[in-house]
Parts: sequence; C-alpha cells; structure tokens
Amino acid sequence: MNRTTRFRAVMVMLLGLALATGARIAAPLGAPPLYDSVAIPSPYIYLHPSPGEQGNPVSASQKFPVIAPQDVGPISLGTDEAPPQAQLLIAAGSLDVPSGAQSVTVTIAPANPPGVPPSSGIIGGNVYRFAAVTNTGVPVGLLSDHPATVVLRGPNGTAEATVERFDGTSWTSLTTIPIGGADTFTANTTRFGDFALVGPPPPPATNRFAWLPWVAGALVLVSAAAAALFLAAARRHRH
Amino acid sequence: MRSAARPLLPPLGVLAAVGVALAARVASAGSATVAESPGAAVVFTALLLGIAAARWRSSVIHASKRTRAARRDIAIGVAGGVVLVVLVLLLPGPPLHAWSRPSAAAAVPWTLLVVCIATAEELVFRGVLFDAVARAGGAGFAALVGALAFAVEHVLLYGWRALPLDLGVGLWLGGLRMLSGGVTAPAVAHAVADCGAWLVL
Repeated sequence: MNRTTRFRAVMVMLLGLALATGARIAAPLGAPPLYDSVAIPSPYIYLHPSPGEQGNPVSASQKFPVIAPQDVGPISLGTDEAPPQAQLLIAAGSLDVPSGAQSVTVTIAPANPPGVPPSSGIIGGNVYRFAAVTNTGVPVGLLSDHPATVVLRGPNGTAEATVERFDGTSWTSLTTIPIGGADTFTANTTRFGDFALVGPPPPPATNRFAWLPWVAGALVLVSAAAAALFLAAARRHRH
Repeated sequence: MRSAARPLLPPLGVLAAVGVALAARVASAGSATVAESPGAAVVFTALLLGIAAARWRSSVIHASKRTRAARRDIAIGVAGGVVLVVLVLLLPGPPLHAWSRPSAAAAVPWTLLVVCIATAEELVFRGVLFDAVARAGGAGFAALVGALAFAVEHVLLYGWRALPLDLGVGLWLGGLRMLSGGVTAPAVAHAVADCGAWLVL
C-alpha cells in the first residue's frame, strides 16, 4: 500500500469518527447504543393481563435529598424491566421544591386506566402515574419552562403511538418522539400525572412469512456445509 | 489481493439486492418491530451472504493472504472496534434505557447472531459493493457509497435519528477497508463494536 492510499484511508476514518462523535454529541436521544444488532426486549408486563400475558408490573420510587436551595439535582428513574416500561428524566433545577423540604420522593407506578378513554386511539400497555412529593407529603410540580421527559415502552410490536397525559377529565397528546427499535416513545411534559401510549390497535399476531427464518436458517447451514466441503475438496486437490 | 476480470453484479445491482434483503427482513418480522425479530435477522443475514456469494469470484473477499497479514488485519479490526466502543463509553448520551441487553441465557446465541450479521454486512458493504464501486469511482467514493447504504439500511431498524451515527461508523469501517485492503478488518471492528457496546456497557 502506498502512502497516498494510506493517507486517504486515514482521512476517511477521521471523517467518519468526527461524524459519529458529532452525532453522539448533537443528537444522543434516541440514538441506539450500538451500530447493528438484534434488540430482544422482555415481554410486556400488564397491570391487567389477558390470558397468556404476564402480569404484576413493578413500580419505581426513589428519594432524592435536597442538595441545593430548593433543588435535588438531576433525576433519572425507571421501572425494572429490560428495557424499562416507564422512565422519567428531569434536569437539575427543574422541580418546584417548596422551601423547607428535606427530600423529594419521585414515583412511577402503574395505574388503573381512567374511565375516560382517549379519543385518538386505544391505550397500548399500562397507564403509568408519575408523581413527586416532599418528605412531608406536599406534591411537587415542575417549574415553568423546565419540562421533564417521560419515556414509555409499549407492548412488543408497537410501531406507532403517541404519549398522552390524562389531566383528570381528558387526555392530551404530547409531542412524541419514537426511539427506534424497541417500542419506546418519549415526550416532554410540563406536569406530572397519568401517562400512556395511545395508538391504533395492534395488528393481528399472525405472520404469513413465519416460515422464512426457518428456510433462511436451513440455507445458511446448507451453504456453510457446502462451503466446508468445497474447501476441503480444494485442499485435497492441491495436495 | 486479486482484482476481478468482470463484475457479476454492478453496484446498482448490489444495492437493489440489499433492498430486497431488507424488504424480506421487514416482511418476515411480521407484527414484531424489525429490530426485535431474530428470525428476520437470520433471513437478512442469509440473503446478504447470498449477495456476497454471488460476487465471490470477482471480489477480494476470498483473496488468500499470508497468516501474518491476516493477523495484522484482525489486529487493525480489533483496534477499530475498540475505538467505536470507547466512543460510546465517552459519549453515552442521556440516561435513557431504550435497548435491552441479552439475558445471560441468550448471550451466546445472541453474540453468534450479531457476529454473523456484522460479518454479512461487511461482506456486502465493504466487500462486494466496495469492490464494484471502487472500480468505477475509486476507493474513497466506494467507502462513501458503502457508508451511505449502511446508514440507510439502519434507518429501517432504528429510525432517522440513527442515520448520522451510522453514516460516520460506516465511513470509519470503509476507512478500515481501505487501510487493510480486505474485509477482515472492518468485519472484526464491526463485530467488536456491536458486542462491546451491548455486552460491556
């Protein structure tokens, strides 16, 4: 390899590294932590499971001490599934912590769906209640212009959904960003409350192409065997 | 390295074949999300290997190398993969968990599948497609086309937000292809990056 070719190769690599670094810095939200793989999420756990579905979803709760005047620092909380079915991200200085509070407990808990269904679709998965209270039980809200980020994962195969918030009387659609690949959607909210993924009904579980992976797997095995035989024969022929 | 007498598939043919493989992956995923279907990944891998096999004679893929050169390519690939893992380590993004790691029981088959996918993709994007484009427009252009195809392919799995990252990584892998003169280095780097980012982080 001559010097020019090597120089061009290094330039292409540096350009790629700069682009990848910029992409990680500029738009990390939703960017997968890998470049290619197969994500296999755990089965969805329902608060009210149908036959064949798993039940008893977990809650998440954490106490955050007040570390600065009326602030508890950044908060990242999620339920225990892999990946979590519900997460909450709050930047430092976003909570409206009342003076005198010593700590704030943030909770994410599955909740019964309200009697009012959303008008834009059906609820996919569970409704989750996001809340924050002080050590004395006083509800804590978000400061204006300091939204929190709610992340919800739907049942496997949730291709399209919107994060909606129930305010006690009606559902409100939030600007939603899908996080590709794993049925997960995120939205910013200026208030806590009940949140759910709302979307079209899931497609039927039948798959006309279910036989394809088996045929492909068999082809791979046969091809590998044929290649091994071919190489063995070629080696014998050389000797 | 052996140069081809005549390409069996032109670059556009390779790209069209990759498109067909992607369509088959989507179709075989059924109601599941594409990135979550191991069966669909197997279909995709098999078809990519088929594309690479179709260009077997005209590609550098099967170029015989001395053991020393092969070891050098593997070392370049490992180093290239480690750089990508370090990139994720240094810039992990927000504490948002949208991707699940494989369970301990699934770690071995998962790793095998990921390595197969990475290898098949490199055989096509930095192998047969690179060779076909390089003959027409040079190695640098071939690295760019391969990176673009690689990035667009992943949009289907992870959405448009992943495109800049995958474009950058595709260029990095293309540079490894140019530097080493074969697909071993980018294939090893790709596999190390995928497995490292998922299993180590």
